[in-house]
Amino acid sequence: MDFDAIVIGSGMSGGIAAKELTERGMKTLVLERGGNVERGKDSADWMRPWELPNGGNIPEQELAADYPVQSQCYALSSATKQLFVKDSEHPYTTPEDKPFSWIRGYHLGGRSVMWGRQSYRLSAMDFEANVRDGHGADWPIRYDDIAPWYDHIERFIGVSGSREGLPQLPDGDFLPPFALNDAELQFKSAIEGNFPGRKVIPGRVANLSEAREHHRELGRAPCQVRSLCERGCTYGAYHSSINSSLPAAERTGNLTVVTDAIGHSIIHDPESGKATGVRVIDANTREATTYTAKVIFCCASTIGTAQILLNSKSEAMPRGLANSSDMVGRNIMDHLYGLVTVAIFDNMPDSYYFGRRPTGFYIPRYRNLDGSDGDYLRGYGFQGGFSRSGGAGAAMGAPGIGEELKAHGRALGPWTMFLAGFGEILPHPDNRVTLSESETDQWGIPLPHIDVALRENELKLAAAIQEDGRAMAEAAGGTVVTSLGTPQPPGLGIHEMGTARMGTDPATSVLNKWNQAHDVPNLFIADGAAMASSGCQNPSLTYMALSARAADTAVSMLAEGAL
Amino acid sequence: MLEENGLSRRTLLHRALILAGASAAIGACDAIGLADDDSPFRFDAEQLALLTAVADVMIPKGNSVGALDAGVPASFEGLMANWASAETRVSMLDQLALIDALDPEDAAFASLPAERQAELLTAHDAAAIAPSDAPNTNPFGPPPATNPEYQRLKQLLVTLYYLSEAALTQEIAYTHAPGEWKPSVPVTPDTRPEGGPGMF
Repeated sequence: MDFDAIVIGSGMSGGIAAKELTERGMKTLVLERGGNVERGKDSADWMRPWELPNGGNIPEQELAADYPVQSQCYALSSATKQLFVKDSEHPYTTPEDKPFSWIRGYHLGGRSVMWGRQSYRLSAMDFEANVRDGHGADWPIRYDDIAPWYDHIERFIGVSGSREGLPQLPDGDFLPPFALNDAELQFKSAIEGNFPGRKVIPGRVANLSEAREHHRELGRAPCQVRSLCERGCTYGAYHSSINSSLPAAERTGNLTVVTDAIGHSIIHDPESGKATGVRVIDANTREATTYTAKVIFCCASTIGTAQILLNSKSEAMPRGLANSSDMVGRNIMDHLYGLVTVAIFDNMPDSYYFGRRPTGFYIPRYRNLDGSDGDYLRGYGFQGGFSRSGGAGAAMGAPGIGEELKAHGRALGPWTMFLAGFGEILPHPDNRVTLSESETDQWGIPLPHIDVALRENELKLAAAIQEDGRAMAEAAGGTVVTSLGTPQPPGLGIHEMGTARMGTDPATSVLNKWNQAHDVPNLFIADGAAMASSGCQNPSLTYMALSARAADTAVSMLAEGAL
Repeated sequence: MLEENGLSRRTLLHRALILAGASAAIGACDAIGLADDDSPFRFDAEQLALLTAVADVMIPKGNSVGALDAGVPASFEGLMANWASAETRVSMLDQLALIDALDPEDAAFASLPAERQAELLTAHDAAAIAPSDAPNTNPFGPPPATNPEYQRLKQLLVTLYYLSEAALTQEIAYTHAPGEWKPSVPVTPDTRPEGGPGMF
């Protein structure tokens, strides 16, 4: 064997899997389909506004030709485009009437380099949701199984937040929160007074509000409150694979990283029933190479992992690797996204703030907490924030030129609230990715065909989100100026998950309670593909906790001779 | 015509701005992007004079810095050369041409006295930016306007100004690395909004 372990993918889950495996003495190979990216050297966080190419805009012709999907992501700009794939080079298909926005970055660290960093635990309620209402497969774990791993990850990556004692959003080992500003405090008071059960709390975010010793050992420094995170952070102040997990893995001396290595398939030995290695295609030369290892971790992201498994079909596994259940590729979920309420307030304190904190406020789920579902199942939470505008936004907000325009731009504008709901999408087997039988990419790999639709429950949630958003804005004295009530296409929440779900029954799930494939004992999958339900919380923290737990388990199983 | 006399385009732009009373160097907007000498798109002399006049009257110097100090005409030309699609270029040129035709006596906009320029552009702006019934699909953009193409021209000029070092250091404020989060700061007569990125 070339290695003890191979990790396919270097993003959020792959980075953590590599860290945990190498720290346990495993000689580990990380395969990354994109190129190398280094903190600092490849970060564009040094650019001041007047140094942004084209003022931050990507040339229109280039945007239309190369980034028709990626341009839907808020984080794409002339300062970050090197971190996003060109859609023209990485095609996929969807049914004409079912758009799916697949936002991607192919480089070392993957999307962990540009992620939104919001970090929330799932709760006991979330791990019991499927069995309670009958949608999807029951999770094979409960909150108590993963709680210690949430602790472990939060300590390592650094999550700022406040302890609130909410059962639907468990607390963790937090760094100090980025405090609410004056308008948000007044909003909090209004919401919690008018709507019992609702809470407005500081957003929990994987930015170092303070750097502890173990963060500094990895060269990480406190957040400078610039809100330039998606460009990469020279200070290493937010968690990403290149800021923390891969450096931690590297210092063990057990890590090998190969970039530009596109995961083609996983090799399966029908005699032993095990995976023996990974076949990769060099992104530049198109040469094929096979690496072998005792254990394989597939962390290629939800769609990518399904693509590799489905492309690994063999005589013994004609539907694809680890797919005896026919669940590989099915049950794609995301979060309802783009449900935005904007309101202006004239009753807030005349104060300001300093700094651009890398988060805002969060309103944890408050619907259907007690098991008495109403018109819809599950629930939603909100992310938002209050700010006071000035500059170009204020100057453009009204007619006028000359000194009048400049006066608008120079004045502190009214407090404006941005509120975005994130709703749970139910697992549905018809929401799936399959592989094209006729079309391949430039490396000869069949194109993914992504077929995902929002259904009745999601549309009811969307309506409830907008109704509640308006009600909360108005209850706090605001005037709603924008209400976007149509969800954006699935995928744009950039929380796609579920294509190799965990479950107790090998007939209806792909992975067991250790993220181990039912069909292939030395294959572990711990990225978003493993999720059996989505909750309404941002999921990366859960992916990382599952990855660490799975790595710990795999090493124990190897030591016990169980693999 | 500008290139026929052997001077570089950048030099000519610099001189034009100095002649127009600007105090800041073109370099302030270099990174946003000036049109190269071999750029596929450049304004001709008349268009450049018109653009300079429009930018100056839209965002005058006043007692701080204006569009010309911030190098807005040069960076706008750079945007048209390096960023805009052919369709956008045509649209922006059309909008500038409409402004050039505002004077009932058919005088070129750039040739009019400053007061007259302001009078004409103020009326044009009020009509063009008047609210429309179109749905507002961008919660971060200005409300829909009667003439969205003029609104776009204005938005580009205004955005270039407020992205400039001149405006961010002398008209409003910008701190690239605040270093700390202060959630409550008293407002004083000297308080200026912070520009730059970041939602909250």
